[in-house]
Amino acid sequence: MNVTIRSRNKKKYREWVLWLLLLPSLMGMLIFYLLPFFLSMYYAMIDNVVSRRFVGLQNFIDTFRNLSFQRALKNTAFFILVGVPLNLICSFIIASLLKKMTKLKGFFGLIFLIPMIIPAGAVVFVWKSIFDVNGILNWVLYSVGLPMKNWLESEWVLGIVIIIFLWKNIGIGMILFWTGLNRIPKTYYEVARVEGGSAMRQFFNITLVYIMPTGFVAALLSIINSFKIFKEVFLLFGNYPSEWVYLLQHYMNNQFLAANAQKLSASAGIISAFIVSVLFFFFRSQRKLSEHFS
Amino acid sequence: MNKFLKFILVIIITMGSLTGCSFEAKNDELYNSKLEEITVHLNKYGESVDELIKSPQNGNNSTQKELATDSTDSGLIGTLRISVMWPDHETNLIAVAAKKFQALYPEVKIQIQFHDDVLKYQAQTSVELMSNTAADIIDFFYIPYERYAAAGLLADLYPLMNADDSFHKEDYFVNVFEAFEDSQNGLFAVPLSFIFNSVSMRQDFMKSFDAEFENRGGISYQQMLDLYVRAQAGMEDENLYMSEFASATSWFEFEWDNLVDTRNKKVYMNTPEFLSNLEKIKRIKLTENVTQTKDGPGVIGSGYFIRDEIFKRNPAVLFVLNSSIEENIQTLLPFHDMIYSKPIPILSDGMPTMYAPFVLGITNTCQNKELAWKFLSYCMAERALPVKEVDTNSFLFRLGFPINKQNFRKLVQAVANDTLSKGGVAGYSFSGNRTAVIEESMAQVEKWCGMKGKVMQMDLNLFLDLIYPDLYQFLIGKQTAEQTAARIQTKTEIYLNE
Repeated sequence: MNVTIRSRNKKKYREWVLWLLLLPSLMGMLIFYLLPFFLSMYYAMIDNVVSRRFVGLQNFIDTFRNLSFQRALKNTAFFILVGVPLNLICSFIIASLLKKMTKLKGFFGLIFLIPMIIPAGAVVFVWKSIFDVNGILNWVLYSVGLPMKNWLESEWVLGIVIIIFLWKNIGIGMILFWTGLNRIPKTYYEVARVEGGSAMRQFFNITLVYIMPTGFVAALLSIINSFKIFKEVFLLFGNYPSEWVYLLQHYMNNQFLAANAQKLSASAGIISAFIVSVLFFFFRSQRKLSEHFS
Repeated sequence: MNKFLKFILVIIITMGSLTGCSFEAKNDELYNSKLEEITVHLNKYGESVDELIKSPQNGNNSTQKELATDSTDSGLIGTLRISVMWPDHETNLIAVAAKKFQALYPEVKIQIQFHDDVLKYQAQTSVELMSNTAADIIDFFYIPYERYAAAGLLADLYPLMNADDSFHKEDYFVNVFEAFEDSQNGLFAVPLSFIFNSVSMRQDFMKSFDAEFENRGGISYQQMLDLYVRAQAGMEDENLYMSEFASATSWFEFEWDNLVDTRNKKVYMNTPEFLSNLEKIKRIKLTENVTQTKDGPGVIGSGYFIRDEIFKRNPAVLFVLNSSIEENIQTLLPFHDMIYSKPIPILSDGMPTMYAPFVLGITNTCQNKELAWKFLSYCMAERALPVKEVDTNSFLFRLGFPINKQNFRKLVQAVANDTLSKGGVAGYSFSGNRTAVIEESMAQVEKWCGMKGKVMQMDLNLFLDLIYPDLYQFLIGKQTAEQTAARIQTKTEIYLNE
């Protein structure tokens, strides 16, 4: 009996320690994330910060109907739908190639990781010097007799933003896929080879199956990072870029400058709902696929 | 576990309230330290002002004291917080008025926060307005107050004005108040000073091109541009300059209302007329004092008799902008042998355009709007102006004409007097009686300032920042007029629809 009480007390003590250690992070989460979020949802449901008249979902409806918001939503969705899969495919290809290399593996891996740590200002400087009207690309085109173009003001500008996004984020996906690929037991491939499985079949039946959990993580990180591209876009094009790269964050930023807390909060709420839906879909799909393959 | 969660909640609430207290205390410290600084500077300025108040030269300087003693507001109590975009505290009308107001009403405490960085001031004001921590009175220097008014963040000043028996509208340029009204006839920003945009034109050019707009009540920027293009072709002079202030964005500034319908959120920038004007804009040759860069056009300096210097130094300049009181009055005074015309108002949509360098408003979060209005009206009211220090007077009103008619007359008289003296020294002569010349000029300026005008909106600066990158690409030949028009049209539509 004494032993039971002692072990119960020990368990309670451990629980206390656990909560005490988690306390700073939980407090930070509460004060800097949850409280501001709920406060902003409150702002989204009043007409203005002075009269504070409750208007329900009217601000959300007005935001959805807003033409500029619709354009920003369309551009952001298009960017994510194109940029994220491209990022995953390129990361996977590079990880596979790196896995096959025997020499200088670490060096080439580092090359792809370096863009992640370069500050946004330097990134913008580099790419602007390439795509600017007096940049390197136009110089090359001029040298070979091809027509030059103002790339940063053309319809290709979204492609340039996607290139910057890929350049910056391929590294993290590559590391994740590389780790995932290294964890697949080699014996599976050997058995498949012995039993006459082609490279294509090995890829679909072994590699893809076992890399799926890693792929989900990489996709999630890629989606989160796709929202961060706003930094570079803002530095390149300012508050009002061309119509193809006017993103949701531009809309929100401009509402902040216009001191319209209601529209700002409503759009933040809509984006949060969108991200939560995507995450929910992701985790559900991952669970179903894992069940299927197991 | 439940007890533990309650314990956590208590800690959070305690920490939150402690943090709030210390922040407020810090805020008070900042305001108080700034106020001490101002008081030290003002003591020196105030002494000289007090001497002049007693001087017999300032006949009307008893008006403010009379107003104070006759007023039924001797019981004014409260604290006012004011946010001002002005780096030089000593010549700030708000600081000067605050000191005197507190002397008149000892139960009133005024805290002024000065700023000297426009971008920081804009961002800080925006955050404060959104978070309900804005000052009671805000200086709208380069602030798009129209948007804040539309969001319900500013108080309508008309009810406060109409409820104040000591405020007599006939003492002010009511036409200027009316120009600041919004579409619902509310007044959310009140100018302490204003300037009408005007140009002077070369006399010989006016005669040879039948361009005597000084007798026609004004000239639009479009007419100026068309005249310039006609002169370029007619005079076959590649070095002909439209103006020292003309840059590509100037046309947009003055023709804004013809290009954009903000109420219906429509933009008219993809029309053949617009394309034709873009080509004309490209032909504008800039003088050496203005440069066109991808960050925007440069600015020329100003001063006494600079108009004459510009025209003399550069015979190819057709128009010169009169942008301060001194420039307006100098071009109005009948000096002999001046090669430029009298000021010609720049029109937009048939109305003279004006801007206000000194605009204030009361936020809707102000707890004592009546007190805030009392202070604002005190700032606008007639006051003693040290006659000798004309420059100080000018800076007091941020180089604009004071909104109060008596202040206006005193300042115009002082500037006209000063200009005539300086003109004499510089070799510019005039005939006739000095007093008569000054009276005539004052009457002319007052008639002009009494016109119904149109205010150039603060939002315009945001709009110009938006279009300038594309405009610059067009001006340096990297983009066609059609591409430029399409891009500007789209960006402006996004901006209006936000």
